[in-house]
Amino acid sequence: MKKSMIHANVLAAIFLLTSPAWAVIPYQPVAPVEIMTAVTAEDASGTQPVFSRFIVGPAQKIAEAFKVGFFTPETGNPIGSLHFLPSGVITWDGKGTTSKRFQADDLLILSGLSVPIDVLPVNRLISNKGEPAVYEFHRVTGDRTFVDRIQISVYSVTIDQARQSQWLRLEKDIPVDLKMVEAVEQQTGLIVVKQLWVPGSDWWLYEETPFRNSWRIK
Amino acid sequence: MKFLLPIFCRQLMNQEAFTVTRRFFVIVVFLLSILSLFHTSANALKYSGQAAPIPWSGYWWPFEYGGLATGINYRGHPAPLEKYLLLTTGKITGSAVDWYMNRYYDPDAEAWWGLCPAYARSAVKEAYPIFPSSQDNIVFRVGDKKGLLALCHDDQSGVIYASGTTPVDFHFWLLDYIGAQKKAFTADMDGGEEVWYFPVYGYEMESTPSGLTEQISVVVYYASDNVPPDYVGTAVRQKVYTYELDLDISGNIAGGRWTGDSIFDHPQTLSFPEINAPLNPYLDYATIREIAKARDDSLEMPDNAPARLLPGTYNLVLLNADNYIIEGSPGETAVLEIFRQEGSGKVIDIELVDDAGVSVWQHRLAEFGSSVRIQLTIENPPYTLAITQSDYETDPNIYSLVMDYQGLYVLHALYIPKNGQWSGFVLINGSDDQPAEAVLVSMDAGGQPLQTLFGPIVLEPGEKRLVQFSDLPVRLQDYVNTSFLKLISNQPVEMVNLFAGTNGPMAGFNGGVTSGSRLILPDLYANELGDPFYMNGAVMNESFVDAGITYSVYSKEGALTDEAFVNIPARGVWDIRPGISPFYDVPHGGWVEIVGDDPEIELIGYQYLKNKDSRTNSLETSFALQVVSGVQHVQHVTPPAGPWRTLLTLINPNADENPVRIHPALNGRDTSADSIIELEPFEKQVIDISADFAESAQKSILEISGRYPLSGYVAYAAENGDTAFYPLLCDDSFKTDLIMPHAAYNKGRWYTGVGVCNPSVYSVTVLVLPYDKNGQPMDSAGEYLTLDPGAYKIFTVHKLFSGFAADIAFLKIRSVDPVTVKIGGFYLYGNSDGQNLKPREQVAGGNM
Repeated sequence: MKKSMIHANVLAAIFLLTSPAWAVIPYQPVAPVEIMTAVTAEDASGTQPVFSRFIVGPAQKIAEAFKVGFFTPETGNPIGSLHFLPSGVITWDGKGTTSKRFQADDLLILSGLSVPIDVLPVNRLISNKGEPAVYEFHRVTGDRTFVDRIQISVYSVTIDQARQSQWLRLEKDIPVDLKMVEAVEQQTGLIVVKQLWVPGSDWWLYEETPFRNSWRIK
Repeated sequence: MKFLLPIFCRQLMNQEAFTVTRRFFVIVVFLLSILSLFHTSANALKYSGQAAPIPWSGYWWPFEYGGLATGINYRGHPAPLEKYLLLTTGKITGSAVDWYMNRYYDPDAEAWWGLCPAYARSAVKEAYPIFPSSQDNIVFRVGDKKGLLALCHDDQSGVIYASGTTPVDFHFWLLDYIGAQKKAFTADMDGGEEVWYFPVYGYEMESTPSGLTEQISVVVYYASDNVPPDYVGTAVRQKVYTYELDLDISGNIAGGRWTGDSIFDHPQTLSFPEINAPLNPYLDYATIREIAKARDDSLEMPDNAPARLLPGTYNLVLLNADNYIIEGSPGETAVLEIFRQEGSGKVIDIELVDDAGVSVWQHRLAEFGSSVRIQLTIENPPYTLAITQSDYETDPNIYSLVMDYQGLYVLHALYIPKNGQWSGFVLINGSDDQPAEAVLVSMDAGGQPLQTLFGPIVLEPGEKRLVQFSDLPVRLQDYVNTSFLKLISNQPVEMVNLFAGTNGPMAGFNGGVTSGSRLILPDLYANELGDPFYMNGAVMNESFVDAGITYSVYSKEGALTDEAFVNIPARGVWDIRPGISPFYDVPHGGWVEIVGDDPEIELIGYQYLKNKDSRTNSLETSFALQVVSGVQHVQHVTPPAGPWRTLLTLINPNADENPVRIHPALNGRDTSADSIIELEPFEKQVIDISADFAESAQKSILEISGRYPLSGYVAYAAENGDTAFYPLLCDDSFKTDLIMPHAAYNKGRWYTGVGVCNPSVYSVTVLVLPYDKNGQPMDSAGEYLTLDPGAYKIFTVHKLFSGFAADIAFLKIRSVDPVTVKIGGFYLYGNSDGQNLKPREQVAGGNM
């Protein structure tokens, strides 16, 4: 009786470890992640930046979708959540909205938002070594349409470069080879968002937009 | 450049070498240029947009001043954050100020560092009209409000940003936020190191399409922050930007760049406060928003109807004509003082009109900082006080109005305990047929009315109200300053005031105050550390003119230790804090005499006395004593063997020896049991009459008479307990009808002892009639007591009216046979343990 139970547990563990549902998927952490953000827009002139902390909860599977919640660490109050729908669409349900929303199957960028919720096609570019891609988005106001073309690519970054650039605040052994996934405006080359990743991990180490810098700290 | 072309062409054509072909070419170019000009103008499209409502202008609160907490570069103290703390905590210091000072105050800051981004966001999100207001009597000016609102918008975590590196997002934001959504946004409007955010709310745009580009020239309208903090409305600024947009073949905007001067001078960052919150964790956004949206003051009535003016100090806003009604009875006195505060450039006009419509007084306050005071003897009430100015909403005045009132009947509770002690009041209209209107007014230590805390209420005949001080709407910021209370009424009203700690001794102010131009405070102690005795007190000038007084401090042996002349302002207070002021060398157990230089001016006074020695734990308050010629009376002497001692304090305020006779009145003309006390000049003696008059005084009141005028009081002191003080009764104290205003019982937790005495030479029968809580007599429960000449009787309410105690609100005691005999009485409240009256930890009472 005892032997058969152990056997069953081992089998279950193997199943869980190998199950695609529990494989490490970018933006769908299996354990809570703590991140810290400083708004860098030239705003509070003369004051020290205010660092906001967020807890990213473990991904929850709801029906065929995954939900990743963002919380304030002090109170545990929800800020919002990313939803990874079976269709591939990613949505943000939470505080803050912007009309400059870049949304595709493996992409969600809410430009100008102060909470670092942007999702880039990390799996495709890093794990599957995909080619840089250009995405085109339209936003409309009144009778005018604005076209935004975002080019997303990946390049290697050494840990020394990352340290020199003060991109690392996670106190943990970090592999030497890192990948920066970067989205820029195609016409101007201006950065929209860039994220520093350990290949195969579930959350970025560092993120930067023209308006905020964010670090993974736990 | 366009206008230079024809001149250039004319010069070319005048040259002889110029060929016909070349001339033709130049003409064609010129005509094409002209055509191009017309073509451009004809295709220019104009757009405009404006947010609704438009944001207001406000100050940007530079860090080098920290004005929101320091008041620097604004209006000093209380600064806006201090006012917020005053309103919410009653104090001007606290974590909200500390947090702000730590983050936003730096005297060495760059001159341009400040809260302009937060101001701009607040102007966008709080774009409602902001006027001054008075909340809980704290005036929040426009600058106070806008400054506090800025502090509710300094958290950037809910802000949406866009870059101004290219004009594409700027163009989108103009069209989308302002054009489509009618919402303003904020922008750092130009290049350079300094950051200056403004609320952008409007644009007028000229767009000229040309092939796959579109030339834009746009005038942007935004609210200036280069205004004084109290600025009302929007000071408009405008700026022109030019840029070129790239179009795709569908006419969609696909990119763009700044042109002309805008290449170097264009918006750097755009932002919109999607969600706003204060970074300062000690600020409550909802409260600040409520403050910001308020206008005018608590005396503003619907439809601008006149408000009844009650005694108090009011800080008010003149946003429309302010009209007040002053009620009163002929013979009463109202004093109005109006102070015009700084800020407005408009003069204030004041007019007082009586009930007949006759203007009885007019005044103009032309300068800010000016004030006016009027003493109004009520003749033809009600009066209407009108306070007006011009241009109310653009430049409203802030003013203070003090309304002091001397009613026909005034009772005093001259000490208000703080720090956890409870304090309660019983108000009762003992009349059989006259209703009484009453107000309870708080006063500061200087004698200025702070606030009408209760009323006006009409007490019907026999009606009784219980009021806890903790239930009164004392404004937080006034709590510390609330020094005493007055009950003002148009008919006689009885008041019982009691206060105590949870398990500590009890005291209060009961019965009418003694007033006069010569007063005695009978107990002085130096308040030295380790001394079980503590004393303080005050003398008040109840008149409307200044009073000069001479105070003389004596030791109990009669040695003069201090003497001086001081002035007590009209309606003012002279505080006595031995060891601090006004006298420092205080004789232990001494006394002080106060003599006014004008015998017409009525003074009142009180003392507060604590004693926690090895034998007692007592707390007592009493009004200042009169100096009395003739006979005074002790109306009850406790037996020598019991737990109580009766202590008689006598003071000889004369420069001569004063032999005092103590005569048991029940003995009639038999003086064999009398005692003579020799009082040296200015001597004070405390006599234990329980011991000294043990036998002779049983059931007899004591007559106290000196050769010269005397002061004195009697104290009933419980062994290891509390003490109750009673002024000696004099001839004026006796009446045919007495009211015992409050029967304390509360399921046996309290008892009420009552004494009735007969100082006359006739026997008298008195009816003791209890009244229920509805003010109705409980006729069947009435008890008759017969008192021989000089006799007294004591009883407890719950024993005399056994079975009714819980229903009895108060007693009326009156002579019924004969009805003309004047009697006296006193009452004493004590804590008990059911029917066991032994605890004696809390006792207090008063004369009837």
